[in-house]
Amino acid sequence: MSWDQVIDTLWKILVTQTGIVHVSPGNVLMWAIGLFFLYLAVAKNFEPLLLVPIGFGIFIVNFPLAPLMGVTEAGYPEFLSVFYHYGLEWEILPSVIFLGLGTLTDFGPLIANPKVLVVGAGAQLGVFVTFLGTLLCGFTLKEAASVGIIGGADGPTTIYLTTALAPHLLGANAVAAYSYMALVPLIQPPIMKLLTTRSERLIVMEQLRPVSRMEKLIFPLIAAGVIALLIPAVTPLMGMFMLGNFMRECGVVKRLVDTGGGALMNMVTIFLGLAVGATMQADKFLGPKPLLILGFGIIDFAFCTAGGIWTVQVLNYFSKNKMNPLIGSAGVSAVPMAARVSQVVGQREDPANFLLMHAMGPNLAGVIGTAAAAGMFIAMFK
Amino acid sequence: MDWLLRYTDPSIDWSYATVTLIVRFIGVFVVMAVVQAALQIASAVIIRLESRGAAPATAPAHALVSLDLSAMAEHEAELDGSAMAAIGLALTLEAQQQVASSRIAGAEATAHGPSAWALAGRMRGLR
Repeated sequence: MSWDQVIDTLWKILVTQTGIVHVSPGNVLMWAIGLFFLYLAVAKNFEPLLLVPIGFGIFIVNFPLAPLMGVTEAGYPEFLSVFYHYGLEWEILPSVIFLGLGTLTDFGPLIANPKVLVVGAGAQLGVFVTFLGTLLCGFTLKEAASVGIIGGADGPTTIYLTTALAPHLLGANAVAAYSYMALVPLIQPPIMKLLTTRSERLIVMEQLRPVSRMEKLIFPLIAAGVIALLIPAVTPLMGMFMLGNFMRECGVVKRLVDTGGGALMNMVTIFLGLAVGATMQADKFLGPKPLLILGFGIIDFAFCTAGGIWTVQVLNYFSKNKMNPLIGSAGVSAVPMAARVSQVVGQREDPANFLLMHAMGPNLAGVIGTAAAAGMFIAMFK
Repeated sequence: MDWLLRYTDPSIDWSYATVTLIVRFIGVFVVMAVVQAALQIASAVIIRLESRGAAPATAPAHALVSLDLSAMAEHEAELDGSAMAAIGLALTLEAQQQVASSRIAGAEATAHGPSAWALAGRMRGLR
């Protein structure tokens, strides 16, 4: 064998069996994006449970020739595309995550003060404003709906709706949703201060009434029933959410509750994050739309925060028992981060004012409200 | 507005998009209002049923085990003013502590009425 033949063989190996010569600037940019998300998760502790698998998914899927998101020669889906296909396209993973969230949720504050459910609706304002804004920027109706839901600050719902309406935007939408959720403590306080007066921020709310076990047991049945009747499109999400909560409150299936809110949810979170990250391949992801989505995401969050605050202010006009408008901002889901922000901003004005449990009501209402808005969009466009 | 519409998807029917958007936004309020109404009705029924079925409010059973109320009444007459004031102060402080802790704990308001601690304190003061 001559030297020329050796070099030729080596070159063929390099070209056909390694990814080195196939690396594009887009791949390098996506590695940087993946590593940036890993940095945010590890060094800054921004939503690490999701951003670690998402960041790693982005990183690993952008190596050329890696058999992850394609189809094998035999026609079978490759490793990560299996998770994507069965987990996301079949809408399994977000619903299973909602089951786990249900087992971890105490609806007591919402049941004690049911009028905050309306606050959860008002806090969806940004979803609809962003819908119009993205339409004006060249997005299609389905894309606009999937971008709008980011402001609901509910990761699984965002993924669920985007998979249903605009799967090509899944990576950008999920990353925007989780990134801004992590930034809620930075985004919300200036808006909350801008839209409320000092006297409003000093309102001390009445102590919430105790909620009986029977009420907590009945609530998931009522919520699941009403939502399944009015917005059947989100029954998989809300049905699982309320099943998880019913299991928690009934007290007779502790093992299932432990599994649903523990091991099962953790496993599903890994696969969900990886599958979402894996959708962000350079050739599909890079373009103006992801940047626009990131830009609209923050506007979306701002309007959702404002919508919640304005709804509380409107309710206060008609109510004798005033609510502190700071709890309205918690209507953007992001449980329990947004409720904690209400508490912190409230205590800056009056250290003796404890808003946390009051803010948990709109916070939980926001989860239902976001699912309702998602259901409206799915019913509208699917 | 025309310059903005240049960038939009030409297939979009704007009147449809706007009207359906408003309808859907109101729809979210309607859904939440229906959940609220159903929840309030269910809560009212449950509270009514539970209050009907519940026994009259009493102090915690474990605190009452060693109480002899008739003896308390007899001893109460023998107390001097300073002992009464001390007991009153203790009860006030304990009540304030309860309020503060329930505010911190949030939703789960504590049951009203004298606690086991208060009843035991009264007994000690009366002996």
